[in-house]
Amino acid sequence: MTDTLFDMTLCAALILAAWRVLHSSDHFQAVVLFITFGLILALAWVRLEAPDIAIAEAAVGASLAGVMLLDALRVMRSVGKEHEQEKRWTSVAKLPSFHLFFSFATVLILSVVLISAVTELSDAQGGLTDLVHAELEGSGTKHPVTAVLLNFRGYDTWIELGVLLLAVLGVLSIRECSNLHSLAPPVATTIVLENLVRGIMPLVLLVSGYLLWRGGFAPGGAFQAGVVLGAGCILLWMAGHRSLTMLHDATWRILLILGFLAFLALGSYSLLSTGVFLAYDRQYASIQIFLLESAATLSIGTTLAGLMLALQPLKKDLPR
Amino acid sequence: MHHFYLLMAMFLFLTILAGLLRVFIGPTKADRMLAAQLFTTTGTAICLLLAEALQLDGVRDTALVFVILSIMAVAAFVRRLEPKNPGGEP
Amino acid sequence: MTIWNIFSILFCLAGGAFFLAGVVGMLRFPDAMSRLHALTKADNLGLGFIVVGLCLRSLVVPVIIKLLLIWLTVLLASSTACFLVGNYILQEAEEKPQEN
Repeated sequence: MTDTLFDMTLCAALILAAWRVLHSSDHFQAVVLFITFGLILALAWVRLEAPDIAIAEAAVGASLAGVMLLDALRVMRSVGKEHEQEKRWTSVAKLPSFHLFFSFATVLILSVVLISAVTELSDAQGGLTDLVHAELEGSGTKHPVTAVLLNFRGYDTWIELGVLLLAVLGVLSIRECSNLHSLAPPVATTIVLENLVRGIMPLVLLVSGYLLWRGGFAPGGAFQAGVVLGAGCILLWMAGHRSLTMLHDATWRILLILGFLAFLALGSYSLLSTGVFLAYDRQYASIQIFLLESAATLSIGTTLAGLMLALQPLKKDLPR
Repeated sequence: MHHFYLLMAMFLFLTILAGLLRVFIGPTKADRMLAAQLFTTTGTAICLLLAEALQLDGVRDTALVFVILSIMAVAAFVRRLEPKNPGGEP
Repeated sequence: MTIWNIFSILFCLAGGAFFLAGVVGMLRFPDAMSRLHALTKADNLGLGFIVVGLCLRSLVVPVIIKLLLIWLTVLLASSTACFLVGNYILQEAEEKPQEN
């Protein structure tokens, strides 16, 4: 009974937060509530006993997206494009009636479809859990989520790394800079933040390595370790340290493509030796998975930090 | 026994919702920034209680990551993009 | 119901009471600074109580070390956050008279 009570509170909070995000009085409040929504969603994932997804949601959905939105907000404000009255939501009573009818009908149909899908699921067999557990022995890792991400569905992870790479390339091309050296130097902040980041960076690196290592047998893995690493690099920048711009241009680019390349290299090697792309050797599967995870961690960390850094003010844009 | 921890987690969750009221109403921007502070402590407490209630050790790692990310969130809230004017203090 | 469980429940309840006090302060205090103060101090104390309660519940050393590490990190993080927000409030208050 307590379980259902907790779940219903979570659902109500999610709906409430989502409604307030859309109806807030100014952009800053909307971003703060968006971050809140992301964190409540992370708690929902914890409740569903999926800590891996909770970490990913809290990191990317709440913190990174929130930080990028706040930066965008500040740029808008400095350029002068932010008006205090920009949020003029039409109240429901003033909407044309066919808009109202259309949106209501869409919500109704979607709800019916989703509810029938969920109720049908509970009658089906256990899903793929049994299959995964049956094949876990030879997969090279003891944690089912890692086995699925890096072995059974390795293609998807490879393509995800490619998508992250494309995102960074996209941001860089919009900013018209080919590397991070055209960024203006970071703004110095208070001594307190500097010293906190100075003290906490070793912990961040330790947590990143710890999550990478634990991915082998417990919730963790490459993506979680990568987002913690990326968050650490972003924290460095926020504390006034030059962070990733200290890296040589070539080093940064190699780190970006390392994950994608590792998968490609392994896949080509297995294509040449066994005729199947991205097939793992049963004997060496655990070593291969660990190498892939390490490369992916470095890539994901530098990509996410690079996404945020590429949005910072450029040298040529600063007022003289 | 795990019911107690679940109930405790729900109680803390309700306190988060009550605190969010201040974020909705709060007249100044600083009031809205309190949300990050709220989530750092209360969110971590909820994670730790859920870890005990669900008997999952991985959720404690989630709590650790929560803390690191909330530092980033608060630092992002108070950042300035340009250096301060020479008129202000360093 | 061993003695450890009873103490764990007591500590968790105390922690919950402090969290409640923090949120009530956040809602009822007149000024942003005082709300910040109430939230930071009371919430961190509440978290400390809950961590002690959970340590008493699982008497395994690795878990206790991890819980204490999390608590220390939260202390560092929230005290820095308190300073940052307080600094922000002060700077906003300074810039306002300059605009007028």
